[in-house]
Amino acid sequence: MRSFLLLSACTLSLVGCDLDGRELLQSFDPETGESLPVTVVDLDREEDGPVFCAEDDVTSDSCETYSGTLGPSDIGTGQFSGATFTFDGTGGRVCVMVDPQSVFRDDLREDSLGNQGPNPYMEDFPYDDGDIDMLAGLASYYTGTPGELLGDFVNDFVDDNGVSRRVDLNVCLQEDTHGQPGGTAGRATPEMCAFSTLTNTPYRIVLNAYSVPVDDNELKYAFQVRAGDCPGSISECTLRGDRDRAADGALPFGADNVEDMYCEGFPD
Amino acid sequence: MSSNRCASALLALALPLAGCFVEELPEQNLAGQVVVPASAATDARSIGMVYVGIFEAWNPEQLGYSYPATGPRVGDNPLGDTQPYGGTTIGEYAFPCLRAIQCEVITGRYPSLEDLLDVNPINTDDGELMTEEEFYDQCQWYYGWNSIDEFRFIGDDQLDFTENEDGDWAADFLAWHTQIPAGSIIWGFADNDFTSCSPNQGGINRRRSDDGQYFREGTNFADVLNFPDKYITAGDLVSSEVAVITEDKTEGYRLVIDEVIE
Repeated sequence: MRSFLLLSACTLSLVGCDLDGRELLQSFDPETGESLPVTVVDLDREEDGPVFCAEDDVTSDSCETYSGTLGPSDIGTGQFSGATFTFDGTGGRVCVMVDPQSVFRDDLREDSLGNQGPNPYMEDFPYDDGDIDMLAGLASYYTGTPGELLGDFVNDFVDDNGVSRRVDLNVCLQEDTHGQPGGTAGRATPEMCAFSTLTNTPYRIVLNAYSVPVDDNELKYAFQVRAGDCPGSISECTLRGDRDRAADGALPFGADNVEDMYCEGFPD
Repeated sequence: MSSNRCASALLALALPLAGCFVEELPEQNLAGQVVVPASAATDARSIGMVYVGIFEAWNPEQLGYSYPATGPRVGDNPLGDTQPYGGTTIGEYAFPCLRAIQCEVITGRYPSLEDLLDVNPINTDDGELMTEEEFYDQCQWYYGWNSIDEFRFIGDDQLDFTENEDGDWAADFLAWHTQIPAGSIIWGFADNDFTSCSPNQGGINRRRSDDGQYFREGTNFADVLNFPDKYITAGDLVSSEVAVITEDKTEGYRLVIDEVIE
């Protein structure tokens, strides 16, 4: 009888070990219980894909911002969801900007002067935020396959001494907080970089889905490629469209998304 | 044979085998000596942090002074990456207990507090020069050191450079775990004006004054060997010639850092 009780206790305690670690992965879909596949989007083949914003349009402030969606990445296996966009170099500087969903702090707002202040009607909701990391370089150096497999610009070569080397030819260099190249912006924070291009030479932008919002496993983003240098600074409100539509009544004052609340505020 | 005996026998066989395992890694330690001529530095205390790198090749023409060969220019970097195989430094930035001379003190340069304060005079709030006792007290408060032997940037036995028979300054170096293919080169420079130190990096201050101010103790930038030209400025020294790595030789190299940058 004692043995039976002991065995029962052991069995019962093992029930507590029946955890499904997949729930911790960004690719896990709680509705179906399945892992969502990695998706790689070739924006060059999209019917309404991004358009390179020429100098005249930059001057007249009429650049179109592209809004897209990316799926979750499988970080454990190193397979990333993402997108690529190819454009021809102009011979001058080109600026690339991307803004991942959605607002880093929902309980803040930006006024018309670009200053951040509190939004007393909102609480922060971090589960609708994601993170995109950006790379760029000569399309010929790209190691991935658009629409199939995400890559980078890290190439191998053998030097004059016969040593196998790796060289990173990513030209989208962002500075970290110490002014060193190699930084990336974090969750829900826009990234930008500018670089010199060769005339009529294809360049490729790579948008790497580092993390997707856990509330729906989909990452909205806003994206723009334009001639010239980037603005001195960009904020959540520089590119618009990186948000989900909120359920009716979920936001105060009839707003239907958190980005509008952050950028346009609310009636006094 | 019992199972215990069997296991013991297997263990006895396996143990000596562990000593036979050769990883055959391409990386090796590289040892040598850096010499700074007395004509380039009259005082070893004035020699800044010395960076020694092992590079693919040498290109003395590119910048008008001795410099390693570089890869293609990527992004906005003014010059390509030297892509070093490895390297080391002689001395390192040490936080000297107070921010007034942060990023200006290198380990292995000062035999005594007097020497340090002689090269780096510090004015106190009273407008007087800080004394050795005051500096000692400051370090005791900041680091908790209770003996001069604990000062990591002070001590006769800690000096990197010693005067050799020619009257020049010589210091040994050891570059850990670097690839050293035959034909590659050793090149180095001395950053005499501390350009390579970032006051916004390094350890977080371990003690705070009454104002509770947070700061970093300062350390070298991470890409100094990749982009030395960013940090080489007037008054620095570079090696006008390079040492060439030869097959199967991992020690005994000599690098003279003698060219003063104008």
